[in-house]
Amino acid sequence: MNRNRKKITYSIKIASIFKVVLATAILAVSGLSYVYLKNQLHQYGEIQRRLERELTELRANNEVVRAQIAQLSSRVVLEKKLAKDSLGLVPIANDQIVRLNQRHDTVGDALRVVSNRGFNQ
Amino acid sequence: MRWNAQARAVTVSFGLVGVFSVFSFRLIDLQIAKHEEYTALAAEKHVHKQVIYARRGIIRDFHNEPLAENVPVKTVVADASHMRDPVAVAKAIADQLKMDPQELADKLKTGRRYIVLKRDVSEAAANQIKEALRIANLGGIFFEQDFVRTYPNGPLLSQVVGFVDHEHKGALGIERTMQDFLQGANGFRYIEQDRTGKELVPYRGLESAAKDGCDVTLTIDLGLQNIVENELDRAMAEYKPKGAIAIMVRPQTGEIMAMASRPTFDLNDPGEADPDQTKNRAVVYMVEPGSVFKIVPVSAALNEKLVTPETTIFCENGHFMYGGRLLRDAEPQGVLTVHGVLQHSSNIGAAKLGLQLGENRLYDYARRFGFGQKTGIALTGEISGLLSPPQHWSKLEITRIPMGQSVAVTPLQMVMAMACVANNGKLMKPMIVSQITDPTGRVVATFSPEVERQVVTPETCRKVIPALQDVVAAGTAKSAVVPGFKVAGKTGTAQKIDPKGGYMSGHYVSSFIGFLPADDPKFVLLVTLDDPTVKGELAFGGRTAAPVFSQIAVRAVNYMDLRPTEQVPPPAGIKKVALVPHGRH
Repeated sequence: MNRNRKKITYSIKIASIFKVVLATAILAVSGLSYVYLKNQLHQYGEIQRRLERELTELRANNEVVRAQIAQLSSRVVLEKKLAKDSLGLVPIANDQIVRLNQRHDTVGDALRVVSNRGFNQ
Repeated sequence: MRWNAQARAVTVSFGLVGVFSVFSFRLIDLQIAKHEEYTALAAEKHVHKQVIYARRGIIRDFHNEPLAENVPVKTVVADASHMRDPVAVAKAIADQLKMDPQELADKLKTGRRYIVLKRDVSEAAANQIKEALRIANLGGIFFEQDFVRTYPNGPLLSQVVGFVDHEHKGALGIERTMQDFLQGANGFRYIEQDRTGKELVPYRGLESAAKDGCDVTLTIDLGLQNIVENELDRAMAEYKPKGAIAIMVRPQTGEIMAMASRPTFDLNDPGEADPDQTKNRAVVYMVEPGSVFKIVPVSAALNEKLVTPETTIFCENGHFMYGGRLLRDAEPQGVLTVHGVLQHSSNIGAAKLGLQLGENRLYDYARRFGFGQKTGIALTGEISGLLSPPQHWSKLEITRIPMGQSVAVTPLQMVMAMACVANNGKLMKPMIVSQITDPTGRVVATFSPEVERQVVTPETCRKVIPALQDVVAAGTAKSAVVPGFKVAGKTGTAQKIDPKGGYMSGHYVSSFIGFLPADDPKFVLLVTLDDPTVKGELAFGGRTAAPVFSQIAVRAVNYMDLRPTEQVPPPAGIKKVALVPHGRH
């Protein structure tokens, strides 16, 4: 009876297995990549949020400092400070101003222009 | 009945198909039929519209000194629906918010999703709150960006700059008239949050960036404004008037260089100001102009060639009966020239010029000088004054209007009329805004000087100005003199109108309007004092407003570095020496 039995052999279909493994691997990699990329997206989103917040805070602080500078250098504050600290500064009285009339002759003007050019270089 | 295998398989299959069909129908129902409804529900739970605040534009003076700035602050908001321990949160933040912890805890225990705990919290305090919550590992508190408007110069130029209301909308002055340019447009962003309230950045929805407001540059020079305000404060202390106004204008362009009004208030604390303090009297105050108005009949009569400066007018020795009523001069005059009428401020002389002009021409010139109509300046609450048409005049008006009675004007109209004379007869539209720039500094709009009309000829002005110079040199305003400069101007002393009818005895509105140098005016300055007091004297414009004009003008010419046109005696101890030009030794 054993002799009559047909010897049947089943060969391993490497190509099929390879296809299944490859498909599974692709699916697995795709899935993992999806999860990984999504995590990355959230991480970068978090970084973006933090940086945006920092930028907003920097801008806000900048505005605060600018307003403080404007406040401290305003005429009202400076005058108060001047009066409080008694720096002895007084407005220049009219009789303390002496005006010198400049000469307007051509030679003088020409000389001044040349001299200024030299200075600027 | 015994079921065979096939029948069982068919039954099970139908069963499975049925079950999955139910699931499928439900899925379709959820995903397609009720998609909108459930999306909206989910969005309501997780999606929020986050406002991105636009920065309000800055107001600057002519030299770019800031007049109105923004200080960022935070609004502290709680989401009590996810708060684990409201009492601990209240305890952690109460100090920084300067609130009672119990009151705070009661608010948080309500479990509501949006509770505004405090507005206008400084950036520093907000950072302290964040730190306190981080250390205690507590959540549920959020911060919304906001700003408060600050005015670095406090009361300086207060009625002109104005302030904003609690919704950051301009309520007064430039803040209000330039609201559309200053406010900008808030942006928004739809965000999705997780259970803890943290934003999920990848799921951001529609986003629109904020558009910051434009900056507004005024024609005001803060240096001159400071001088004007200091001197006005001094005048308030010396003459104790109920109010005071000063306006400085560049006659060639109509630019307002300084504008001050008393009483005033601190822009950083507008809630404390009374309504009277917030009024910009330069544009909302209506007064009888008094003798300042005499420039109208004199200019008109000269322009119409009815008279020359040398034409003589009999001034009735100070008593002129017309229309059954007596008209007086403060100083009785006999015969005066037209030039003298202005110099000595004769009411009778001006009345006779009015009679010579006739009602229609007098009215027409008064209108042409800008009286009885708004100037169109970009400030809130401007009024047009009161100048009735001739058909409504009584018989007396023709003699009263030329001397500045029976007509009501604003200080701005008066100064613009005098600026017209100083500007060769061209009436300019007053300008207070010089330009508007966007947040990147690009100029959006530049305002150019606008000529309203040629009121009188330059030749007429050349005839009027010497008379105005003599008002200061030898007339009613000798105390308006400015050493080194020819000053032209006119005093005005108008009796105050009694609300019960008639005039109030002993109460005056005293004014002086002048310009200098008279030949090439660099500025026109008006000083008006409402009911000043001078011991033992009548508070004439020449006695009260003219000295204030002089004090302001002396400091202004130094500030503007104007070269004196007249000889000023050198101070003692200074010798005149010849200068040797550089390089010629």
